[in-house]
Amino acid sequence: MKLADMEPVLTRIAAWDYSQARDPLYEFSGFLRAAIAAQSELPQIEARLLRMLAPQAAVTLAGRDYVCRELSVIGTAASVAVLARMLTDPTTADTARYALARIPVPEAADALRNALQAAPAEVQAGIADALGERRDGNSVVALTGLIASSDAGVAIAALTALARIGDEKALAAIESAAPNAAVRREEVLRAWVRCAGAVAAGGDKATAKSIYQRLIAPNEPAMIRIAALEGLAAVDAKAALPVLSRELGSTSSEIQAAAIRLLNRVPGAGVTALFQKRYPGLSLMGQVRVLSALADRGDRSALPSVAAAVKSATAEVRTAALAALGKIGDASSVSTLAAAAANAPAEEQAAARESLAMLRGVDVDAAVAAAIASSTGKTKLELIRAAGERASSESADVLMQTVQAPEAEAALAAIRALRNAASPEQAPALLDAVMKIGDATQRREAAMTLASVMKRARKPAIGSVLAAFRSSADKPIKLTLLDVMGQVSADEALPVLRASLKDPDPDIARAAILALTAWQTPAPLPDLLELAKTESNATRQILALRGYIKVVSVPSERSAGESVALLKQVWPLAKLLAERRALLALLPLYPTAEALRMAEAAVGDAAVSREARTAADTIRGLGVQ
Amino acid sequence: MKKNQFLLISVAIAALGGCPATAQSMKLEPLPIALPKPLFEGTPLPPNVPNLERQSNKLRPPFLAPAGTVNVALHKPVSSSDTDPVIGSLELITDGNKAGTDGTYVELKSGVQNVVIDLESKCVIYAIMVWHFHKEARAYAGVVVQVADDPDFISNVQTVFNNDINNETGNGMGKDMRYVETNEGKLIDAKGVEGRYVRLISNGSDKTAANHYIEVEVYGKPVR
Repeated sequence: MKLADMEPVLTRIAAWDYSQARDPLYEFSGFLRAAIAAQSELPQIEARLLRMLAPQAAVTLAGRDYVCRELSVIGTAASVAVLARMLTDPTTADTARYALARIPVPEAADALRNALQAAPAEVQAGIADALGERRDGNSVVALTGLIASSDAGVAIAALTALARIGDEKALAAIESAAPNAAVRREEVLRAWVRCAGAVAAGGDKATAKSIYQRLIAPNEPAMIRIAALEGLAAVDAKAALPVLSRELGSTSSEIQAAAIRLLNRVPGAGVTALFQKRYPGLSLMGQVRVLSALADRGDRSALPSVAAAVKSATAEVRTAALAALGKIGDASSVSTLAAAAANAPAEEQAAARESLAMLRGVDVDAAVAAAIASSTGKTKLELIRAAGERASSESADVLMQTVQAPEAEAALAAIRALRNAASPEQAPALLDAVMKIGDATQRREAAMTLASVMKRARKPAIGSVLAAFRSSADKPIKLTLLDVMGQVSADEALPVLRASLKDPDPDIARAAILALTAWQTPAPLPDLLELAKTESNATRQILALRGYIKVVSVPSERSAGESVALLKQVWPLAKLLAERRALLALLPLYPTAEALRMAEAAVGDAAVSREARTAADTIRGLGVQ
Repeated sequence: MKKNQFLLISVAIAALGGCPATAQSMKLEPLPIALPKPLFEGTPLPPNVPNLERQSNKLRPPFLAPAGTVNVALHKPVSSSDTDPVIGSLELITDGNKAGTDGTYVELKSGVQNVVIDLESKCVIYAIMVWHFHKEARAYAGVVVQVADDPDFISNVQTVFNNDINNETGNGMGKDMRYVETNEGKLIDAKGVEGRYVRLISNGSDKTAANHYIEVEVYGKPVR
């Protein structure tokens, strides 16, 4: 596309206002991106845009603003005169200086500098800012003169610009002008410390260091001292260490926090040792911060100090120490953390629990397992919980033993922990536990754990469950095992479940339907369909139909059309409102013309017409007609 | 007279075989609902979802129920469509702990899930309190609460709350509004329905597809 093709767009931009759609702007920017890549037409484009900035041009302020932004990208020395003229008008000065700050030719800086002195105060600050953005060293003298301006905004803008320029002259200008500045001393110091940063970035670290050392004096404002400490640590970490070490004992909480943070950036055992040495003499907050810093360092040489801090008389310190143990603790920390998790107040308990779960080290899991075996009461419960959260396979055996133990609470906790900790190899032991547990709640939990663990195997060994089911005469156990078969969904169990559907005991037959309902593949669909069609017992017919509807929704490789056909064949069987609603809820999952027809046909059924209409609307919304 | 007072007296009349004198003398008392501490961290951002109830900055007024009404769900067994919760265990739903902090809630898998509380005997139910998750301003979707006589929800099924406006859960379209979770929980006026099993359904929230329950309380009395 050529510039001439963009004339209609430029006409729209000329009339454009902020309240209007930005379409023409997007269109021209797209054209410009392509032109920048091609380069050849850029001079003509620049000239055309400059004509839009002529005083007599019929272009809105918003349109001129857009043009200036584009000139900031493609502008050359050819744009400078037009933009410089705009600097004298407060209504266009901001947009002009935006472009002049970015056009990478020295003439642009000259234009800004020349306009600086004569500009009104509201424009001066913006021009000073633009010169700072350009880091124009030739403007230092002009900007220095503005530090004493009676307009605080202008003075601060001049200081900020000098700080950004960041050369030796700018630095000297800020320092020498400080006594005459019309603004607060802190503003000057802020510019000074910032300028030192720019000087250091330019390579003169020695000069920057001397400034930082002056600005860390105790009588300077806290925020300036913190910035100077950060600067000093960046330019000369070695020189900063004694200063930061001294500030560890600062009475200012902010400075102490900064010193700890900066010290913590220094690697090595030296800082860890320093933290430990100074820890006893620190304030409460200082101790808490140092403990967190030690945790972040991950240096296990600090473990004795952190372990000692767990016995502090102050709750905040104890909490921080317990949290730190999670990061630098080892097997020796297990008993301390378990005791706190069992007996400490809520915040300490939460920190201890989290640390118990995250403790690292090859022997930690073994320590947890040993502690489970040797502990009692709440401490044992916490350790069992930790073993579960750690998914600690080393604890699986001791957890299995706990399942058989007489303490009901510990047994239940162990059953739950085994859900993460046990591997499929433990399934026989878990099944044994399911068969022996007398308490209904524990047995149900154990069955869930058994199913969860068996599902982890690529080919679940369901045979042992089937054998146990066949050999057991205990009805609650049989019901539990049917539930497990459903959760595991191994095809070898289907014949047993099919036989159970015909069991004379209604509870067994019901449990078999529910097991098929829980199936994770479409395999039992024919069984459930047959039952939904032929079952004479109303409850079981409804359960079978619900099971069928649920299993249809299980992810499969069927096409949407095939799924709809499956749903369609049970629609006449759905006598109750609940099943018809459930069927209608599934239709939008298979957005086909047949699904739409089904939904539309159901609109005439007053009991479900709203649901049918919603389903039809949703399917249509998915593009099906 | 507040709406729920009127309804409760009506229920009482029905329950007592239409003996107005006795019914009118039935003493109503505020439910003893204890609220957990607020847990919002930072500025709660209101969910951007349709059919959302306007949040009130006032405390919920006391809910009156016949004297002697208690939480009949406390420590009662809970089952779920998700037999292997992602976080926590189902018993947390009726353990009496509504704190909402880690370790006090159960997280069920994504999508439509339900929990069923077995009250272990048929009860007359005046109110149901639900705390899904009150650590942030969430609005759960497809919240449906039903009461039935049987665990399969076939016999005497009564829906006491339904904010599923699109039938996404397959339980029909409801007219109730979605609401923002807070430490106040959601009070559902059950209007004296009778049943043994209480089923709560949800379909994730505006923040996550998973489903959460901190606590469910069912305020009622066993049917004699």
